[in-house]
Amino acid sequence: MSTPDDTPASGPSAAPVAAAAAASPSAQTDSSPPSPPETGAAEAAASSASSSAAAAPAPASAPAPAAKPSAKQKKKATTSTLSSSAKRIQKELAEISLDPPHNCSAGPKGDNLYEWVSTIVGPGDSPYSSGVFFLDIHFPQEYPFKPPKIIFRTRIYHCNINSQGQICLDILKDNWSPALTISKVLLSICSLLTDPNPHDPLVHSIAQQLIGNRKEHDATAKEWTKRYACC
Amino acid sequence: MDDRQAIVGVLEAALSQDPACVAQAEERLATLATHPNFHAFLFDVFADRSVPTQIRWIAVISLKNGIDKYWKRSAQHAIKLAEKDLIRPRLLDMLDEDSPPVATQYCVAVAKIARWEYPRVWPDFAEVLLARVSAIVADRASPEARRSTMEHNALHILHLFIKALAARTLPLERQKMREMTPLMFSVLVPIYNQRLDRFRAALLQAGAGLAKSAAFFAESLPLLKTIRLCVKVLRRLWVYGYENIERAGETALGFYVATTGHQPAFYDVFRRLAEDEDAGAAVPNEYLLVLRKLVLLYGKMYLDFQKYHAVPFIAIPCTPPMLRWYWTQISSEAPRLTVPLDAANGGGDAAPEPVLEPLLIQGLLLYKNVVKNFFYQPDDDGTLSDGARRCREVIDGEILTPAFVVEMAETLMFRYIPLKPRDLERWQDDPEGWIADEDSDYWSFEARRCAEHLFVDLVGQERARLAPELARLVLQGVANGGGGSPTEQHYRREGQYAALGLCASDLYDHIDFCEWLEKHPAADSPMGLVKWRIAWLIGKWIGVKFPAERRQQAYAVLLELASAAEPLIVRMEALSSLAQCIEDWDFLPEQFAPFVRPAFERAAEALGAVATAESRMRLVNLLSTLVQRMQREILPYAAAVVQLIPPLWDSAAGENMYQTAILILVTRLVEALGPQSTELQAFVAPLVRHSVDLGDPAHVYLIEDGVELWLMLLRGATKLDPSLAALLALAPQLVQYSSETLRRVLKVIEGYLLIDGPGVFRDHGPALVEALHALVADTSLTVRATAAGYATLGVLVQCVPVEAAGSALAQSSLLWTAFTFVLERREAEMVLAHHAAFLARVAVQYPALFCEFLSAQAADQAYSFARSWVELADDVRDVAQRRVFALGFAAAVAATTNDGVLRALPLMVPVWNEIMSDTGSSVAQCPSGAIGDYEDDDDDGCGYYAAGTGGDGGDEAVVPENARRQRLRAADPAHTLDARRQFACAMESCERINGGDRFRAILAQVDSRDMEDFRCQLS
Repeated sequence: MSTPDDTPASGPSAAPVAAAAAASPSAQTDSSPPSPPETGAAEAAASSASSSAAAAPAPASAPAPAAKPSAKQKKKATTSTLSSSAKRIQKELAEISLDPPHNCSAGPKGDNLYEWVSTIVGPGDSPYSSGVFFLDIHFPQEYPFKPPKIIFRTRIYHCNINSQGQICLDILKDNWSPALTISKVLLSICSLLTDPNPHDPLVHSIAQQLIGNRKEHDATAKEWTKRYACC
Repeated sequence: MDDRQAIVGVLEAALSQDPACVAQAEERLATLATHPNFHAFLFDVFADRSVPTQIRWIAVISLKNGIDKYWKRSAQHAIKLAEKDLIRPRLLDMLDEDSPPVATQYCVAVAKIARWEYPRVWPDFAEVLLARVSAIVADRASPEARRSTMEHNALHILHLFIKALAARTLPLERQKMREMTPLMFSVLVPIYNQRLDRFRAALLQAGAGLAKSAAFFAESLPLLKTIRLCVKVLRRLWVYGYENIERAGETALGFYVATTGHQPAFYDVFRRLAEDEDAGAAVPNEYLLVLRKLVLLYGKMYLDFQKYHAVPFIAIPCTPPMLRWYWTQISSEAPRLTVPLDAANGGGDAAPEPVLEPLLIQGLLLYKNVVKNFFYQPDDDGTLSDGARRCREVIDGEILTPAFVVEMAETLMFRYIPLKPRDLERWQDDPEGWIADEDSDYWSFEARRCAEHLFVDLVGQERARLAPELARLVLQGVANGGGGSPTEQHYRREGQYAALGLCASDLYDHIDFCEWLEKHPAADSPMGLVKWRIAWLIGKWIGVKFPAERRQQAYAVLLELASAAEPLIVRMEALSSLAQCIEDWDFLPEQFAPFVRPAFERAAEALGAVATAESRMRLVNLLSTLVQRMQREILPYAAAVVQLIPPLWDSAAGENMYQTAILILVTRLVEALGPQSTELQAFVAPLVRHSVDLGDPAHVYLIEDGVELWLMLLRGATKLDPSLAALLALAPQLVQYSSETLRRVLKVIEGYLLIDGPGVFRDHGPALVEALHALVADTSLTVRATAAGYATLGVLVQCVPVEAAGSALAQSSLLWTAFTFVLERREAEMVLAHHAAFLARVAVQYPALFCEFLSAQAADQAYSFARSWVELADDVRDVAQRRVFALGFAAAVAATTNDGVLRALPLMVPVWNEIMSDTGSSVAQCPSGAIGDYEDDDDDGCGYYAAGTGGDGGDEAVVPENARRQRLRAADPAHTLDARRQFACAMESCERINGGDRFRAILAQVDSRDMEDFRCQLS
């Protein structure tokens, strides 16, 4: 049946396969009925592809459609958690190498794909400008369903970052979503540097100073940046 | 009149010696206060001079209290307007009241009435009072004593009135104040000047024999009092009465400028009298008191003026001389502060104290506000406003010239900042109190701490100029620093050390602290002063500039200083510096490992030695930071730490902050121990019980940390100790308690179920089910609450076999609630999806129970329900969850004869098709379990990572609960069951129980393409 090829219900790998299937004329042999409308818009798009493919006079010879679905399913069935997260991380690595966000860079430490090190240059409109901050990123096995663990390795004077380097950022905890990528997370951290959040601080004294005496806070932050993040 | 007599009687009774009588009388007065005309009577009693003074005194006090409570119009039992009209006209007739206690109360009473009535009800009060004052002053007829009494009383009322008015913020009051200010100045300044002239004359007359001249005192005391009252009124008017000082009149400005000359003059008189040894008893105490307060009053005016009108303060030309005068006092008094230490210890004659220390503090504060002030500095983009520019010119040119700045720094450093004998005395008597004071916010009441703040600000502002100079001063050897006596050398060294620590971040570029530390070992000194300083200095510099390689040296020094042989104060300082080292960025657990044992031992010893709860709390915080940073390295010492806790906990009864600190320590310890924490369960359970039990009043403070500890304990547990298991009884209550703890409490319940589902359910199941049912059925809560509740229920259903849970579930009407929600579709779809998902899960785990439930429903209802149920499956995006739905449908169909359900079969087939095509027979190890996984156990995961053990996610397996969750997921029927077979079997059994014909009839309803699809999938 044609439906297996057209239903990209989950995973990015389904899309290229569907595209390949639509391209190959041999798939739609039997009177490829359009998939029932209840199963979602994605399928409607795919089914139109399939019906257009079917409209084109396709040669009747084709391998039994049952073989194709099982072949695809076999691919999916052997996908284990381990390499699905590895595949996702690899994809993100490719994306961040080709198109890195502004002022950030990230990459694996060594051989281990799950341990990365990242560098953030302080945003120009913050007191941390021209400072270079190192971060350690650790991806869990269940990535992207669990958020990565990120900590600062360079000393920084910020109310949402404590002396162990832990960051208080909601998307790294409750508001994590599998749709977020590491480059988006790094961008969030950069924007946290520009706009600290003193209402949910990790270091209360710095947050108090931010609210009460902004000038002094910025001066101290600049000083720390100059001393500890600039060499 | 009878009433009056009765009231007088009650007042008399209130004065008696017998406490019972007094209590009764006071009660009677309280009830009488609500009767009409009572206060008017009180005033009559007060006004009647024939009544004895004591009774009049009580009367006026009662009147004052009555005004407080009942004068306001909106008060309960408010005084009627008629009564107020009786009192008001006569209010100012009693100005000649001469008995001081009665007079004071009378003035306060009038001022209170004025506070309520001005400016809306009695708008001309101010003018009336002022007119009175003028009249009194001009009055030559009455005898001097009476006149001066009236003057004092009137001015006192005026002072209280202005004080209250200055504090009011509504526009009308502010405007009135501003309007009346020029008038007040014009009346009061002449009086002030006149009295001042007379005082000067008296002074001149008394000449050299000032201190012994009783006539002088008698004559000048009333003058002083008047002067003081005038200043009291005028200082507030000057600061608050003018919005824009530039527009102040000549009189006002003249007054202010003149005071800068008057204050030094009065201070000289005060000093002469205070220091004159021969005078001794001749100078009346009251006299000195008034004089002293007067001198300080001027200072208060300057401080307020500077605070509210920063720019004019500097711009007025009299300010630099005034500041210089203050500085002269500060530097001239300085030698008195640095006395030999042994002289103080010798007791006997006390060390000479400065003449008027509060004056010095005022001076230091004035300078501090000039050195570092928002108004005198450029804006963010570097531009100066005009006012600020003028101020900067004055400041840089006249007040804070470069030479003066260095002089100021030296004086502060070598004279004011070093610790004095009285500090050292305190170290011996009450070290913990001294530590607590150092940490408090009351620095502006002590000269030394004020000086420290000023010094830090000065160096901070003038860093470019001062830092090199300061570095030179600090590094100067004590011997070459200009010989001098041992005392001077001692103070020099103290000052150097103190400055080194206070300005650590400013001296960053100029001094290498590690080298300095090597050259200056912690030498012995009286009462361990130098050792204390060394410990303090390490704490200050560790966060600023201390290379990681050299830290071991610092740890060694600190631990030596913390040993039991040292005085308590040194040990406490060393331990708190150690805490700062541990909390620091560059703390490396491996580096600290050799020092862990000594650190624990010292902390334990100190815990035994301290007396106050605060100090113990500090030490507990040190321990918990240590445990947290060292993580797994703490294992060998865990037993020792655990032994420390019971006595601490006992001593902490009632001290909630301290108990919280202990709870945090235990939580971190449990976290660090991981699976080994199972041994601690019996020990920790009572702590948790105390914190979490809603019947225990302490729970309000402790519940959050208690639940954290509970959760951490469960996560690390490999089995359930009976005491821990018993705690679960408290959980159902907590589900209702509050939304902040709810998430954690649900995680706790899940933790229990994961460890031993059937056992736990046997004991507490029904209560838990009830509580969770109430949670998910409550439509006023958000989706997240419902989702979290259902997540826990899902774990319950997965962990507990149907034999144990079935009846409880059926009885609790949980299924019925979910069924109704899905059927009626009144809520949002997001919410309904959770209910539907739960039913699907129950269908998969307890198929028989579910089918029985479903079959019991009426056919129509069942059909609507089933249709709704299937539709809701569409709203679920997560693949694993959809599998559960599909398998649930299959289970429902497999065993039911309910017509309604069967009629919905056609809708189910497409879903099955989709599942089969997407996921095949089974999906291995799908990571997430529920819709919208709200798991937040990663907050705690940070701790593991910070230990830097790395590895690819191996850390997480160390937590036993994570392993249990993974096993649960692996065992989830949604993954383990073969979908195709399930669907095939379902169809077969459906056919079997419903009979072939009926089954075929149902199948005929299914869309033919779907059916085709289905058959193909199955084959």
